[in-house]
Amino acid sequence: MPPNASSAPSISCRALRKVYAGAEPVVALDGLDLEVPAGEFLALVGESGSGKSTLLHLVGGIDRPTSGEIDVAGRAIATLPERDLVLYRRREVGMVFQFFNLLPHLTVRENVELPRRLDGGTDAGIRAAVLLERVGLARRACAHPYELSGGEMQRVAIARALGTGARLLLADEPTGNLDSRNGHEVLTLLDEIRRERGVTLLLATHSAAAAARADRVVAVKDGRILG
Amino acid sequence: MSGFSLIFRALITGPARRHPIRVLLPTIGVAIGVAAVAAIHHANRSVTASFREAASAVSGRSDFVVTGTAGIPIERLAALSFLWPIGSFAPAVTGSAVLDDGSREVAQVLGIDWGGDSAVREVRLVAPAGPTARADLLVGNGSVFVSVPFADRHHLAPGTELSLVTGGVRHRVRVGGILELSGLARASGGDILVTDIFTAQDLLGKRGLVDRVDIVLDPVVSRADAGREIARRLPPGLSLEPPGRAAQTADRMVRAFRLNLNALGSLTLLVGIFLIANAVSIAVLRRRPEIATLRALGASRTGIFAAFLAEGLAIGVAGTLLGEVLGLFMSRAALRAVGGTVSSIYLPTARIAGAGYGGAMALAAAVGLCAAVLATILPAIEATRVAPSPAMRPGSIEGTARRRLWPRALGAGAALPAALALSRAGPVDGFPLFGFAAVALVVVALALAAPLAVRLGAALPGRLLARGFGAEGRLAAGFFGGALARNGIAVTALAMALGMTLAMIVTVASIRETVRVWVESTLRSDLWIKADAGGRSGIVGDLPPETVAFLEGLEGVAAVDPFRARETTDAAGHPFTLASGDFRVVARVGGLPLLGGADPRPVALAARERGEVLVSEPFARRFGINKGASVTVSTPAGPRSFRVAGVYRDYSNDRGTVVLDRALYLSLFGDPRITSAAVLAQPGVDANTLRRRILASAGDRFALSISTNRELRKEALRIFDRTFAVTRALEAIAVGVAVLGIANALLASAVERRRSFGLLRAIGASGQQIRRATLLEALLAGLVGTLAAVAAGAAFAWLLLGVINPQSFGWTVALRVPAATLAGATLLVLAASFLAGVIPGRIAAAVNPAAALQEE
Amino acid sequence: MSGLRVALLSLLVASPIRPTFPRDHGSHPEAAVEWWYYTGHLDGADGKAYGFQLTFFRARDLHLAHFAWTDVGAGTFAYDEKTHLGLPGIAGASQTGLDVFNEDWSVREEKASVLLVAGRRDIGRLELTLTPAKPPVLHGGDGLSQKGPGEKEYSHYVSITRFSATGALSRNGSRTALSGTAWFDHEWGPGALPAGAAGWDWFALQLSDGSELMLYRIRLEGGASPFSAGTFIPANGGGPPRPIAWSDVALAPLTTWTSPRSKAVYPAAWSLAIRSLGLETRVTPLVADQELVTEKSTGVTYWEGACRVEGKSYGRPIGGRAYVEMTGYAGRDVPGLLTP
Repeated sequence: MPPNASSAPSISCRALRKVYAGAEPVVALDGLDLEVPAGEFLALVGESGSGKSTLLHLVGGIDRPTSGEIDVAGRAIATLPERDLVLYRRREVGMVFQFFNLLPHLTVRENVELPRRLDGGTDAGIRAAVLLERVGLARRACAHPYELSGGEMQRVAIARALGTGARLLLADEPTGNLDSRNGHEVLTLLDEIRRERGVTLLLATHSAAAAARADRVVAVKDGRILG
Repeated sequence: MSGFSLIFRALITGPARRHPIRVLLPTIGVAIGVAAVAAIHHANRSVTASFREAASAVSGRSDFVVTGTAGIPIERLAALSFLWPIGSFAPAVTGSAVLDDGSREVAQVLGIDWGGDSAVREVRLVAPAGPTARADLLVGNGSVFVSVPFADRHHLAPGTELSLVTGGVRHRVRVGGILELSGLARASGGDILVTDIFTAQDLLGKRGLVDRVDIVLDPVVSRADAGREIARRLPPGLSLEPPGRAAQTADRMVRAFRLNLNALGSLTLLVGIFLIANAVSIAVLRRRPEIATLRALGASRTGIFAAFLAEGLAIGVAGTLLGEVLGLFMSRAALRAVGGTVSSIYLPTARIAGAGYGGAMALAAAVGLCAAVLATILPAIEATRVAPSPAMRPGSIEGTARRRLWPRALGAGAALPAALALSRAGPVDGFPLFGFAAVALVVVALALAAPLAVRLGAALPGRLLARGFGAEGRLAAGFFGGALARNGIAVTALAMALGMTLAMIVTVASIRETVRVWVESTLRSDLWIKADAGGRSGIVGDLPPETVAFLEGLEGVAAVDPFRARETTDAAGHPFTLASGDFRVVARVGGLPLLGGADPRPVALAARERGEVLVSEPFARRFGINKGASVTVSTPAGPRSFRVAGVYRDYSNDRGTVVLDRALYLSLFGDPRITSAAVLAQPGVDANTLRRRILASAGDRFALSISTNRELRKEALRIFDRTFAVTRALEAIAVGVAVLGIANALLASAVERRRSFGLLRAIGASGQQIRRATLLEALLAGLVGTLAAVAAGAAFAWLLLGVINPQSFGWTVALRVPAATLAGATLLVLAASFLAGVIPGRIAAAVNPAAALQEE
Repeated sequence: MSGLRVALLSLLVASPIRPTFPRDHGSHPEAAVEWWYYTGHLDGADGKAYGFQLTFFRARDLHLAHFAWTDVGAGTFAYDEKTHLGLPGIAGASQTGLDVFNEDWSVREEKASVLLVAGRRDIGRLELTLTPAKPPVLHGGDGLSQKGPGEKEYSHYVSITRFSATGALSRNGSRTALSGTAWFDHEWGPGALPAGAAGWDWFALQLSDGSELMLYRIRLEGGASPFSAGTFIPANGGGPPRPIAWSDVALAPLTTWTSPRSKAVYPAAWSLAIRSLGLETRVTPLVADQELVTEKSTGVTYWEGACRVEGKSYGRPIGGRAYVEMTGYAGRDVPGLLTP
């Protein structure tokens, strides 16, 4: 079992700033502070461009802040060397995106196996089978993403996010590209899984219905937490 | 399946399976490049190996070889008798014969000291069987011994008679026996007539002379000490060489020719490299979202880099394998062409046998794979720069390309003066190293400036296109300018290949025209006579001295210019040709165009009176000896120095020639035989009539081959065209590969822009419009590439004509721009690149808007 | 008229060419075959006895040479051979006097003596000065030796049957002074042995009374050819050389020796008697194996070696030394120059 499986992480962000360079620099996060206790389901709501996605990217280690600190389970993510950051992404974070971001040339099973395989795990196949069973797609394991419906694709993405046994799940508008029935199913799945597995779940969403399932809801506007 | 193989499948094999043609095109490009390299290398290696083998078959176990420019007078052998207690020496007479049995084949004639020769060379008799090889068989009755394959081919057995032309005279010889194809009999690929020294002297008209003496020392004797002692005792006019020198000299003779082929073979591969780089860059551009997702999932940079490197390598491996097979076929054609050139121009008795293909295969594989890796490294590094954030969209490489547009253009601007500086440097050991380096720098400049050219191409003609073709034109310009990085590479490949082709067209046309003019001004005589060479254009054997008097005595002959040419080397072993002619004939008819345009007639007359010499331009260049300087020639009376009275243009010999007046030559070398004779007919005497008269009068006395002035001119150009045939084939291949590159780039654009096409279709563009836009983009790419090619071609042509050519051949060439050919080649390439847009256009037009839009 | 022509023709054909010297010690290129042949018995300052053979052959323009060295004390025999075309500095023979060489082996006349040089790295370099003790002998009267009934079956045959020899053998820096006697044969002619000849045996005896005997036997299928003959050269002051007819000779092999190389079976000792001379001898090889297998030159396998002579002349004991040559005993000659 991976070492991080012991408990869900807490998250602490302090004075987080992210500025995208360009002819006209864009300030995505402007001194954001946020504390997320271990095991919490936190919904981030806000308009497009408010900085929700940026925050998730920074917490997920796929982007680095311009300044400020991010602690995940007591570890400073912002200053982690690239090498460790790769491992962090691979082992400790699971991400779910609006556009699913499945790899079109791999099968459903291979997509789910991928993170664990990247980690050199020999149990990737079993894990993938268990996870696909859990998200109800065991029988589509050999299909390619383009053969699936949107809801199915997102369930595959969730299974993939859990592939290495990550205890931090980041979902960026996971229902944004789904109809309401599929969106409902995906949210239910996320909620169930986080309870079953004891993960910390950050959900960025427009949807009030989605936000309603969370333990806590915070609003993001102009790169800061409101209120 | 490991993590890496999943990355590899996600990024490489999966996409490749969906669009195999995008991998196929660069694979074919590499295959052609590898095939060209393998074929050229194989041909070149075969030439070198054949020379070496021929030389080693003749030199056998020899430690040293003694040679003399005009042969070694046989009594000089006595000077070597001091060697007997410490070794042996074996004299030999060498020459060539044309078989008069209908095959008209050329064979080498070698006269040896039977018995004593076995210390140096081995011959094994297979027939007649038994201990019958006795003195009466070996000596004095003109018996020759032939190899088994030669005997089979010509149906010879011991006792058979054989008719030959040697030394310009027809002879009948008796086959004394058949030799196993080993040792000496392997010389000239078995096309050899071995006989005793005296018979060989009779056949070749070399009474009292031998051509070489091979020295074998006892194993206990110090080579260095013995070498010094031999050199000290050697009579003047003779030189001592290591046995490998003959092969080296032969190799040096054809070196410039070989190097040029190598350079062109490399060009094809270079275009192949650009194709791979192009293909991998496109793959990286296109698969950015997947790369980002993989990175977000925790794939490392190394993993991404390795995946793309593996793709390049896979293309390299596949292309190499394919290329090796293709090369096997190409090498046969190349070998025929190269071998034909070598034996028709340089060495008539040279037998170019195919060397093992393994060496060429290994080299081409190494070169192909290295090229693949090299081509992949930069795009693979670009791939690792893709951020893991999936929010980012394609365009960052474009951003880089845009940001670096001007710095790169500046770099290109700096590369050109550097190339200019390099072009000023002299050759390295006769090889225009810096010239080729300058060419490479121009290529670098081209690659650096290409994105800017694309940008300008999109901006300037783009505006015209917009005006002329409306929406489609605007779209095409947008498409084209929107992919600076990718189109930059495609344009570079095209510009490089086409530019080199244009430059070669200019070079070849210029040399051809120069040679044509030179031939016309040189060939003043009406008939040109040489020993019967079996229909070959080269010289096979020489003519007896009586030929001169015979010709002069014929009715209708106004003057005879006996020409003699012997191969020799300077003190450092560099080969050149020592020639003699009758300067009085030059004084009468001219025909020796001097550098600087002076009238050759008074110069020749003065040179004759003062005992001065004329040298050819390649000689002057190679040895740095110009008019007024003095040149030293080794003669039987020791080294003699002569003042150079003038430098004349010569395109027939790139080794360089020193010409003495015949009287001076005869007095120094006592070598009355002639290589050829030019005959001036009396006014009103028809050349063809005179030829018939000469042949009729020659009867059985001389076996002559006679060309008229017109035939010789035609022959000169025919040889010229044949020499450059391989060059032309290689150029065509390089351009073909480059057009593949354009097709590949456009195809990639079409696939990449599916969403844009879908959107365009969704907002009302017709498939027809999109196809037209794609075709226009292809035309634009071709146009920019062509313009860049013209600029690069001018630079290449200047380097080829002004630097590389003079340094490797020593020729001054007057520039000639064959506008029609150039325009034709350019239009052909333009049309080809336009056609390269057809398939991408079809793909683009076929995009289903709904599906394309739903893809992301 | 026709008589004159016949006379002239017979003059041309028979050409009563009595050899003159030194010219006829030199080469005769008009003859297809020619050889110069030296043998000798030497006593070394080291107390040991040696024998040597040095032969220069010429067949048209091809020059061959054999050199053999017998170390009687050690019972060893070594030889070497050379083949070349006649070329300056390589091999040749003067046409004006005795000057024959092949590589660095040579014989040349110098101040009424003959300088002989031959050798091989492992044998040593033999240098001898030969001083003739007798004038040249012209065999067959005028030096024309008929070998068979055929027109071309003859040779010109000249010998100097006794030289006193002095010189040395140098090897690896050491030098052994030598002295003794030598024998010289010179033959030239069309070179054909008579049809059906199986081989020949040749004897050169230097007897202790100062006389010499040369004898050759041409072996035909059915026995000795009637053209077999010899010459007896009396001691100085004993009169001119006397031809020996074959009918006067009694020659019989006593034992045989089988060569381990060629498997040839050679007579190993002879009883030799000349009735008219009252001579009865036994000729015994000093070393059994003195066989030459000359695959690098003539291709002939033959036995040629130093022998001892013991016997009686008119009842009085006589001794002497001899060289004997025996050819045609090997079933076939070895391949020569060009090995199939």
